[in-house]
Amino acid sequence: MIGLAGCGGDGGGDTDTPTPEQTEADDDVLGDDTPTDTPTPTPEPPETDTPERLGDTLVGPEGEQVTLQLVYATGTGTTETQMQLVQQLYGQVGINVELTGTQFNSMLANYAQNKTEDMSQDDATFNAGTRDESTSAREWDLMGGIGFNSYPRTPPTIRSFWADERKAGATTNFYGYRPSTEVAPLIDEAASATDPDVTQENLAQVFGILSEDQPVNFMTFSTVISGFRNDVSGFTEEDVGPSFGFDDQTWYFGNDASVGGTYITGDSTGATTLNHIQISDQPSANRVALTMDGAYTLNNENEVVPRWVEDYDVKDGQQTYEFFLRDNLQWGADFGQMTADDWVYWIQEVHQAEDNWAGDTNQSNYFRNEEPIPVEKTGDLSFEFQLSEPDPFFLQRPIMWGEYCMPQGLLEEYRDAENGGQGLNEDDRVQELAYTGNLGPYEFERWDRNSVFVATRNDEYYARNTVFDGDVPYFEEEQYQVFGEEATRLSALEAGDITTTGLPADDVQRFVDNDEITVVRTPDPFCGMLVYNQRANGWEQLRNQQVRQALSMAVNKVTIAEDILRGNARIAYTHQPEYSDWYDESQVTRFGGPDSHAIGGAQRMLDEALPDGYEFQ
Amino acid sequence: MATQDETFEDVDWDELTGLGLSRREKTMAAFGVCYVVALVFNFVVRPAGEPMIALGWFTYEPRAITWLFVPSMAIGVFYGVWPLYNNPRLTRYYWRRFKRNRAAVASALFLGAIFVVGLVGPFFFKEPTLQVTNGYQPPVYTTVDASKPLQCAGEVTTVEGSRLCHGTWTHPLGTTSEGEDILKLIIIGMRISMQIGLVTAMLVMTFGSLVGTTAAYFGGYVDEVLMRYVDFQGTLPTFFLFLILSFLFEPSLFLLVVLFGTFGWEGTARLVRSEALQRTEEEYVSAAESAGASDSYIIRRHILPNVSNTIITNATLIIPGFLILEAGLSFLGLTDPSVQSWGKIIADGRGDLSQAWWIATIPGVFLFFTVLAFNFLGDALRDALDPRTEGTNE
Amino acid sequence: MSMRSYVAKRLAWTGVVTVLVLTLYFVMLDMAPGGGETVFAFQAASSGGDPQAAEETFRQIRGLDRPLHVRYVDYMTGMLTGDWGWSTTRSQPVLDALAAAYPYSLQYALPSTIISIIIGYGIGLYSATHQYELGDYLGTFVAFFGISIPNFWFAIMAVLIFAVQAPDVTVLGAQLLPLPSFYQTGVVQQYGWVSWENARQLLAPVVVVSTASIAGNMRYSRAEALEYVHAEFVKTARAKGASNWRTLTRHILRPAMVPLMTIFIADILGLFFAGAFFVEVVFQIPGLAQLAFNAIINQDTALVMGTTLIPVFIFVIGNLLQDIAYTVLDPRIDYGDR
Repeated sequence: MIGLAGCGGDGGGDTDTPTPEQTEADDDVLGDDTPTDTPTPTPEPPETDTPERLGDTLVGPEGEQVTLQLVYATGTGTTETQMQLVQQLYGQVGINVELTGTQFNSMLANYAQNKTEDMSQDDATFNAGTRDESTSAREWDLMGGIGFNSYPRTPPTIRSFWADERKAGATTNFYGYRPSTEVAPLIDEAASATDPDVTQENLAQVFGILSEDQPVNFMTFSTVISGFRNDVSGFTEEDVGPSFGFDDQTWYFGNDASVGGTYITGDSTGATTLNHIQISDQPSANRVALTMDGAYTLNNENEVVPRWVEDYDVKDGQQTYEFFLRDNLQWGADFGQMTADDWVYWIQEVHQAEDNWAGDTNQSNYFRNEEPIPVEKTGDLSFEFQLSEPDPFFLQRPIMWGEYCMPQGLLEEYRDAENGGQGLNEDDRVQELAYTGNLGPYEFERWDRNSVFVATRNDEYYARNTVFDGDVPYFEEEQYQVFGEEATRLSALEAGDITTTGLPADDVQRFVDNDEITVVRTPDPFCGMLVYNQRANGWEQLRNQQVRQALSMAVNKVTIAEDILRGNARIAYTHQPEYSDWYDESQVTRFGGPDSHAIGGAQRMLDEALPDGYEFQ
Repeated sequence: MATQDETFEDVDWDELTGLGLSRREKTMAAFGVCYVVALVFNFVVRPAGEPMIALGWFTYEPRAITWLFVPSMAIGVFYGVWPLYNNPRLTRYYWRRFKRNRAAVASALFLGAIFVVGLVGPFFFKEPTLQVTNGYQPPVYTTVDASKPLQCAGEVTTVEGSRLCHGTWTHPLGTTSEGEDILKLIIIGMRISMQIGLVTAMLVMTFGSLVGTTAAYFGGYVDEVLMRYVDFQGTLPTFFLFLILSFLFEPSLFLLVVLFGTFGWEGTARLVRSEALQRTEEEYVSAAESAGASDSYIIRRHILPNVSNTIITNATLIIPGFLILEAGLSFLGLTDPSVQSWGKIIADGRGDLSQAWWIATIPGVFLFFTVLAFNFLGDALRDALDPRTEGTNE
Repeated sequence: MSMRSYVAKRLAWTGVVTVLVLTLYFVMLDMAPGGGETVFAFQAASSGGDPQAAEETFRQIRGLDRPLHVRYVDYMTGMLTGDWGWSTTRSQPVLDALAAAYPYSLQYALPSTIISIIIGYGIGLYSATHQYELGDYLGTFVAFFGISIPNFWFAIMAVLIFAVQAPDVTVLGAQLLPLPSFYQTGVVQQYGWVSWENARQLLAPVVVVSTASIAGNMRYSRAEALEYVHAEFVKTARAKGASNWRTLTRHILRPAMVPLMTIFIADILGLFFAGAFFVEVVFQIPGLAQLAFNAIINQDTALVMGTTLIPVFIFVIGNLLQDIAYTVLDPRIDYGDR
């Protein structure tokens, strides 16, 4: 849903619905834990294929050593280390790399946003023109500490990264990538094909092209690691997967499922608002999720698991999607029953409102080709979306998946008022989630900003003994506790003052060794990458595909995944993780992995690819 | 008093006429010229990409902050060491009073050692670089759980079921998480701490004393304007400014030092002003005025030297504040990631305190003693230099 | 000009400075690029949306969609009339945010200030009367310990030692160790502000904060006392046979107390904007220092204005009070003649 780019390959403590694999016997997930009885040396590349180096420096046509500017985002734990490794490795290739560390948002503003000469800085955006015309405010060649979500549930969403930069749809192509073979039409094919085999074929081609072209160096897919106190029960190894925790209402303390206890999650960032219309960050979303279930959720196999929506119907060759609500859903604050009227009003007047009076942060998903998706009420408790083209991925998109709603009565109070959006936002009923009624496992209790968010068990929970077997939820209270300092947060877990929190990739072992804590690992769809600037203000040789391939070859991803991230990452070769349903190995070319030809090979490739003025000395 | 013990025949009339430049001031001017030439050479004449000094194997490329560090040291020499050298009797007097505070003498020696080692040391070894497999080595004679480092440089033994990695003399103080030797980093950090301390002190002293003495001497409207500006500057959000400037430009040590030095002198100004207020009422000032001395001459030659004690003491006492400030900014992640100051090493190592305690603790100990030494030194200087505190035994 | 008109002028100046500084903050906030707008636009663009539209929505939510001068006038009039705006990063009115955060800061700042004044003045006076003896060095070391050690390191060590690795210690039936590893506002809800549980949570923060401020107090009191320790009238008193204690209290303290009062005033005034940031971050106390810092980092304009108004005011008023005190104390300085 809410994908925060720029997590740079660390499964830090930000993400919450942890989707790790709980291990009872040994704290080892995905089977790649380094055995603790021997120290792990860096795996050597196979002996046979290491060509000798051609020289110590790569000299350009002006007689000087080639120097590249690498800018990276500070703040995420191991990014700096990874970039220093890149600097070292490129130094061995013969290229001098100058590092510049900066804050993530200023990195985006100064390096990713670009504009043409006649535009003002305010109009700068991520792809403001062709790569010759539109350049960023500062010069750069390589960018690190940034990651793109690979959307394994809805791969066509990656279109905006890889479409040709001359096309309008390439809204995040800030590095000026021009694919060797057109990617956008393939993605569009995949997006609207009703036959999954056609979709798979097209996507496989796309991933193949990306791995061949190396628009960026796809380095790693990190792992989200969570630690739980041992007394949390209710999940097993089979629950591991991208959606781990989707049914965490069923968890409990101790050996039998009885009501009691306070479940405290340690979070590194606090919420900014509880008005889910304006939410754009994961922490805020997590808190709201305690009080409302949403329309439906997805399990690890990407299947729909009903919540407020009891059933759904896919018609007209995946062009029409109809949803049926349960009839026992009640709003709080005297707003009555949740009906299809609420939903249609919600979608049309908030998500599709032209003036965006409510400040909705998720409007774009409700429009197709600049037109709002038609939504119609088909019954008291049912409504349907009518698409103009088939969309096999509709259910997995953030359109109805986990979608909340608001009572029509509440919205109507502010719809036509002046500054209605702000009025709605400041309304106590919104910021104190008074309208959530029986719609979620917990009810809002209090929110001490920058400290703790407390929700107490909802006695009226609609799903109790109906959707779930049993008296869910089993915790008396759930809390989100903010920690500004990671050391304190981890200490709190060790001391038992909190129940669960995210663990940093490079410091997992002491929790694995801790008898009172269980470590769970979940795959992360964010791909940490090193971006090559192919716009006019970068090194012009980066526009050469072979040069990019050589540079990707030179970066030893095994060192990054095994040594720096301590095995808590998987090597990436293209923009899709291996666990994804849509990943196809067959067309992917590998650079920088264990069978890579590393420095010597990179030099030879550069020697071939670079024009005459360049030579190794 | 800092005036010389001169007889009538010793007066150098050349010095007192014309611009009134003493020998010291002439040397300062010469130094200034050399400095400007070097500056111009480096930024205008020299082709980009080549280090500034390249004599065979010895290459030197000064960082931006070195351009401030060198004049700071020069000022220290010209205004601190030179007058003392010229006035052996006074120097002896101060030393007698100073050395009664034994802790301060120890501090001075310690700081002197740090200064020398920090200045000269880094030329003797290569700067440590990333070596991930060498990370988390413990200091010699200590151990760490063998799972923490990727490869143990020392031997690995098993004690009561847990495997321990031992430290070695190759890294006597251990290594950081990135495999950099802590001893070398400490020495580099000495230089950086000296740079931070001396440059900010120079900036603060210069601005503070100039403004303070001018305000006190002229009084009236000038005083009001200057002091109200000092008020205003006191409320300036220097931290905030630093935040914004480090967004607009990249965070660098140079920026930190310049910003906090240029906007951190209001306390000094107020202090100097209150001291100078007392001095301006003295007779020698009115004597100089009636003799026809210009305002700048009086400030430069009569007031400034007499408040210099306060200035020096104050400078010695604000330096530790800046060192701690830099450590704090490293904690917040707002400093230059390429500068391995003590503060940065401590901040980077704070997450590992429970297992790899040496990364944050050893530089912390050095920082602690350096700051402590400055504090002892500053207090002792105040006791020694302040004429109001008459010693019990002379 | 008389003292009264001088004071009146300075007060007026205070008002001017406050307005100037607030304007400066406002303009700087507008210039700074780090408001999260670009990140938000990037997120939106990565999921297929339009970054321009996203930026507009972001500005709309943050109230930044109106031109600078309109917003400025709005804020300024709001500040004067008591409506200090809505904090977008905390989703509550700014006044509520300040009122919520202030008690948390006060509850560790007040005990720390009192402790550091008592200990600081005590050590300073002892140091002055026993100059260069071992006691002097030890006392000075204790005082300087606090300002020499990096606060955040000290705090994290405290958490590690007293919360994570501490054994169970109970005193008179009440749990002493291990201390809680972080500050829980729930404890205040449940047991109240003045309670043993709350005090336990505050133990480590108070220790860290008070050690940091002892040195300042010690220095001042020592300097002031030293001025008089070797004075003639003290020698006379000793010659007359007064004991050390009597000399200290009746002859040294009295003249020394007056300037010390100005420092005392500064300390107390400081309580109005209490904030030891590193301590708050490490122990997770949701106080004013974190509030102000987070407001700046996230560019929450209304909140930044609110949190900086107070210290600006305090600083300028504090300077005024100190200046007045100085003239009162030292008859050689007279603002009337200048």
